[in-house]
Formats: sequence, structure tokens, C-alpha cells
Amino acid sequence: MIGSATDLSFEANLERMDQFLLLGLLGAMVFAGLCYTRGRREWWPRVFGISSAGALMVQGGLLVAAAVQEGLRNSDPPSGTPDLPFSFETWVLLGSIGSLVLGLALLGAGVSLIYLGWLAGKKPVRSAKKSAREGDQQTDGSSLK
Amino acid sequence: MDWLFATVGSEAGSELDRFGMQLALMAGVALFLGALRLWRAEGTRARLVLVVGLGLFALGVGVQNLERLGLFETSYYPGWKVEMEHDLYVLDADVVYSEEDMEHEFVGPRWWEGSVWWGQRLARLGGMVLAIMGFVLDGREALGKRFGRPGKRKGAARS
Repeated sequence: MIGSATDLSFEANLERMDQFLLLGLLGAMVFAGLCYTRGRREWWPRVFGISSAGALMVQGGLLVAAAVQEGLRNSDPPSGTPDLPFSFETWVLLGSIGSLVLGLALLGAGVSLIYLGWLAGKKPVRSAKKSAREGDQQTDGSSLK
Repeated sequence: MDWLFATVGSEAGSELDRFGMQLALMAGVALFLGALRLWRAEGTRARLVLVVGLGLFALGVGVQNLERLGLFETSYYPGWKVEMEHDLYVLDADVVYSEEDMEHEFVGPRWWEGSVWWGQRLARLGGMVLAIMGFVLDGREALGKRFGRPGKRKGAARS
């Protein structure tokens, strides 16, 4: 019977909602990355977008793997342990590698967001300094004349 | 291929898991710091939403991963009392306890465990919703500024 082995408790549903919201967050990060990248030549917006897209793909893969596992558990004949098509250890190891890559991609996105913020904070200062310098040069020039 | 993964074993998997959790913890903090930096550079409403959202997200992920890494232990989960009473009075109704057993006081979760459990989950869920809104709004504003669409600039002008 389908759904017999599926955990439908409140806690499990909360966990599922959490996973899907994380997928949504990563999607929003990809969107923001695309918006930051458009019309700019800097590297960091691209790093942010690519890291977010990588994290989105890994999270999507982890969700699909969890769904496949659940489906296998509920398959006919139902198996107590999801040993098909891989052994249980393989599922666990693949999940661990996935969460490691997800952590790495998220960290990459975080670091690039810090750099983006630093760039955004630096630009007005830089332009102000530049305009001040230009102003100084102009006054110097006029005084020389 | 399967034999290869099986020989690596679940111990290596748990080590990788731990490393992934540590990375996710650092990533949450890095995202929050990045959003804070963006907000300090230009304090728009979208960036404020992003800072609050990513701050809550970092807090929730941090507490969750610290618990998973074994820094502290909790035994709380929703419905623990109902389950315990069901086990004691329905499933084990025929079990006769000795006097020595009866002398022991029942130890449930500590008073703060429920708050931590609900707090970290609500922080994570609320934080993610706010962060999604923040990223979408900030992305739209960035596009509006770059290509000069008046409709997109409105949010930035208001803040």
C-alpha cells in the first residue's frame, strides 16, 4: 500500500517544508545573482550566482534522492531498507557528499555576498575621493594659471 | 561502483556530514555578514528585510548544526509527553515496576529544550521566507537601477 511507510508526523512534515523553503531561498539567490550580474563586468556577482546555482542543483538532487528512497521503501514488494538500486551505505555516503558540496556552495555564495557588500560600500567612497581629487587638480590648475 | 561506496563505509560518511554541517554553519554567518555589509552600503528596505531574514536563518541553522555536531543534547520533540504516557499506560500497562524503580523520579526534557527546539525551527523558517523576499526585492531594485525602469526604482526611493 502506498504511503504506509511514509512518515507523515508533524515533525517530518516540518522538516520537508524546511527543505523546500531552502530550495526556494536558493532559487531567490540565483535570481538575485542574475540581477546583480546583468550589465556588470565584475567577477563577484558571477561567483555569487554560480555558487547559488550549484547549491540549488545539489539541494534539488538531495530532494529527488530522498523522494526516490521513499518511493523504493513504498514499492511493491516493500523493502524495509532502501537497498535498491544501491546499498544503504551508498545512499548515506552520497547524501553526505551532497550535503558537503551544498555547504561548500553556500559558503562560496556567502563569501561572494560579503565581497559584493564591500564593493557596494566602497564605490561611493571611491567616486567621492576621485571627484575630490579631480576638484583639487582643477583648483591647482586654476591657481597655476 | 556500489562495492566502492560500501567499502568507504558510513563512518567516512558521518565525517563528511560533520564537515558539511560546519561549512553550512559558516555559510549562514557569511551570508548574514554579506547582507549586513550590503545594507550598510545602501540602507534600502529590501536589504533590511534581507539582513533580518538571513540573521534569523543563520541563528536557526547555527543552533541546529551545533546540536547535530554534539555541542549540546536535547531530548525534546513535539508530542513527547503524549507518546510517553501512551507507552507507560497503554503499551506497558501490564508491566509491574519494582519499588526501587518507583522511587526514581521521571526525567523529562529540561525546561529550555522546548523553547530551543521551536525557536530554532521558527527562526529558520521565518528567516528563509524573509530572505527569499529580500533577495527578490533587492534583485529587482538592482535591475531597476541599472536599466532605469521607473517602476523598479520606487522601493529604493522610498527607503
